Amino acid sequence: MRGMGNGIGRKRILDVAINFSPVISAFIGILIGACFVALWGVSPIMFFAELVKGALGDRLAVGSTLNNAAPLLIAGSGTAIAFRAGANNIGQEGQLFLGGLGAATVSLLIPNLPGVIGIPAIFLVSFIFGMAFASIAVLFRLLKGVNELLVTLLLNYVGTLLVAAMVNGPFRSATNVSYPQTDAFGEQFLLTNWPQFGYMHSGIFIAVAVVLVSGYFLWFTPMGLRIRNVGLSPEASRTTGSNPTAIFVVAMLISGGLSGLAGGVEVIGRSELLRQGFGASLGFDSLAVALLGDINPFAVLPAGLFFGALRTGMQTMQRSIGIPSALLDLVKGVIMISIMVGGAIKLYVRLSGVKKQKRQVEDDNVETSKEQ
Amino acid sequence: MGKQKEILLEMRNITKRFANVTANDDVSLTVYKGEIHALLGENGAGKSTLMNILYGLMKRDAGRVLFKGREISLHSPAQAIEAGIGMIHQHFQLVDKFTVLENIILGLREGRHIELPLERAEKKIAALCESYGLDIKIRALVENLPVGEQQKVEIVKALYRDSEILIMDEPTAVLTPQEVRKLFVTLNRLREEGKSIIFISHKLPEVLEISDRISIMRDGRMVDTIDNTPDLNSRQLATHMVGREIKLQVEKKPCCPGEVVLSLDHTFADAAGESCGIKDISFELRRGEILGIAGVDGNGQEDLSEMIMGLRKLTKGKICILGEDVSNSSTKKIRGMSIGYIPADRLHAALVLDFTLKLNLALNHPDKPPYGNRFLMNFKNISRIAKEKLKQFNVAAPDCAELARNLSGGNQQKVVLAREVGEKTDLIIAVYPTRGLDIDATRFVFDTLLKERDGGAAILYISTELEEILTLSDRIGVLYEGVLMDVFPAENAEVEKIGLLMAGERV
Repeated sequence: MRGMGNGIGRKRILDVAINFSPVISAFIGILIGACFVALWGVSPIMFFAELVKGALGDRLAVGSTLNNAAPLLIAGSGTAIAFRAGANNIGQEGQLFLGGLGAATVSLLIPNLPGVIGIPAIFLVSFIFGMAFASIAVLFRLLKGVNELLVTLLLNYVGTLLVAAMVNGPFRSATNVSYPQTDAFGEQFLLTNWPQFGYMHSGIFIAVAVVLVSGYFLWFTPMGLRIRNVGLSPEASRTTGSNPTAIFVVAMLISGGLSGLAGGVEVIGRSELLRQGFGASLGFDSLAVALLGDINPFAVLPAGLFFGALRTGMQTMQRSIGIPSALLDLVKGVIMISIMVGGAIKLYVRLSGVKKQKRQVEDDNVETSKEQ
Repeated sequence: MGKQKEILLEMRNITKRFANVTANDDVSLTVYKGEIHALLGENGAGKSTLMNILYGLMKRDAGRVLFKGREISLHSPAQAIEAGIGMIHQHFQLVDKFTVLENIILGLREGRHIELPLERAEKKIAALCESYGLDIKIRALVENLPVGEQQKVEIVKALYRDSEILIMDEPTAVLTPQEVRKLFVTLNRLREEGKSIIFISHKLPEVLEISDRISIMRDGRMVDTIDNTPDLNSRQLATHMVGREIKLQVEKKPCCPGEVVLSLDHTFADAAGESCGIKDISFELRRGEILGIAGVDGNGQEDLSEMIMGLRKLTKGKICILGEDVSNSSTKKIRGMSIGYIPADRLHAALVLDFTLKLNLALNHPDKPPYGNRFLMNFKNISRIAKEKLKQFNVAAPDCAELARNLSGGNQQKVVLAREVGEKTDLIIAVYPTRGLDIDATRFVFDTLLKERDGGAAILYISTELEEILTLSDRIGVLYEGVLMDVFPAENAEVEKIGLLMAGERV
């Protein structure tokens, strides 16, 4: 009996560890990051204190953290939906850039549109642009069986470069020649921001809404159930009457669309025009957000805020106390890698569980004894 | 057999514990030189564990293994083979695209030649085959050989490695009755030549026929080792095996077929992967009857069920369910017609192991009342129904929020049953529904299906276990390479005839 209790106790600890593995791995990442900081001759305590101060130290910092979090939350929720369906969309960066391009297209081509229609139109078009970009990978997968992981990854370059080409070409501002960017969008297209809250813009509310709707969609609707079913067991989803291919397409498109929407929100919320490299690495960060959030939109919420704070803190440190950006990127990279390794380990634990169970069943089959 | 018996293998007081089960509890087994020793036991009795320990696949927690009088400690199959212990798994360990010769010498290091010593090996194999009365085509590709021949290759492979003891794991499970006869001839020959064989099986008549002694395991313990004397019978063995007198027959009311529920009209499906496809199958299945489909595994069983369920493309012909043409309809549509489907592979095709039981139970129609509507699932109803079904089907689970992964195989199968036949059904398609289940769980499946049949469901029961087919069916069909050989009433069934049909011989 004692042994049994022990076994269960150990199992429970393992369960808890698995459930909190993203948080644990983020923490390990921070520790390793601290080692690198120390190697640079900077006190890790000072480093992280500055980081926290930079991210949350004053109103401006908090506002900026929330503004950084908004696109991360939107794209992160989409990523969670894709991953739950087993669709390996890692093209958030490119899709986000396309979404930004969508926003620019609306505001530059129809400059006289009133805001009431303009802003929803921008949301819609940036969603569609992101979705269309993701659909390239969908087509490759359906027609040629090419893994969407590869295609979406490579399309990231296409997306960022396409924006660069546009803002250096047809969309290039006639008045500003110092940096490749568009003209400023009309006032009516921009999201409200509040200087008294550190220039926080209303995108964060949209982001929270997206998170809640996505979470609700995944966990409480029949379609969400089918999406999760496909991700965990495509075979079982087929036999219970789902169409895994259709669900793959839906999940990819939703995910691409939300990444696009994130780009749109970023452009009309913060940058107020489209410039080359406007939301650099927001897409990649949203991938980390989804993983840190255990590909569960509800948990993406704190994860997105964390990464928003991380981005803001690092931006501030770079500006104010001259920490080399390479070191900052290194620390962030270490944290992200740690989260991903944690995810991989978790997957491995889960899969080895399946394997064990499968072996068990095979043994059962061998030991079948039901003669007579 | 009167001569002095020489002990070849002794396993003494073997104990093996897993997390919270003791798979082998103080198990001892003695095998003499030149005997066929049957190892018999119910599902989970610990036979596989014991053999895995002997073959170096698992480490024992306690106990000793003596082989030829010397204590051995094996950590891998390679060491076991080296020592002279061979194992023939139920799923053959052969490379399909290699010749018999290549398969036999695969993995062996002979001399220091760069070139494979093929000719020398071929001579040696030919000599081996001669001395044991085996005939195999040494240069043939394994994939072109029938199952019985492949098994022979496995035997020669073990002999080539100078195995003195052969562990055979359910060797007859994949064979037709005719192939079983040939295997027994071979086994007898091996015995004459002084080889020892551990014969794992659950088929009592076979065990009685071939073995010299029988060891029976139950709940991880060795119950008894008995000499196979002519007055030993199946019933005694079965009683030993389960520890109580078991009822050998199920209660079955006479069959009164009603309207046609399922009809297949000259249906065809393409072969895919390892399956053989479906070739021109027609039959009708009526309310209140069970059509049992017998056949050796891999002769189109899964193709047939998947074709009916819309999971496999119907290339020709017509399928009707309750008069409605469902040829190439979507699974979703077919699922909407009160059909229960128990797929062959419950672990992958029926359950989502990382979902809770209640979600698994709601998986067929999460978007329909009472489980929910198009936009929202009704978790209150889902939980309530799940609780009812778990109780109704005697699923041993703490509650309906438990992950399916944490249930035993038998209970997982009960969950599938609860989902598929827990509501009113017109048609049930059950593929190998008792696979991996013990006698009690098997009986539960039988009772459930019979209750559904008496309640007016039409049941297509696909199984490789002839006993089950004979017990349960009202009519019997036999599948061979995607062809339905014959369909006849169960009363007229003769095992011999079914055996021939299973081997593809028309009678």
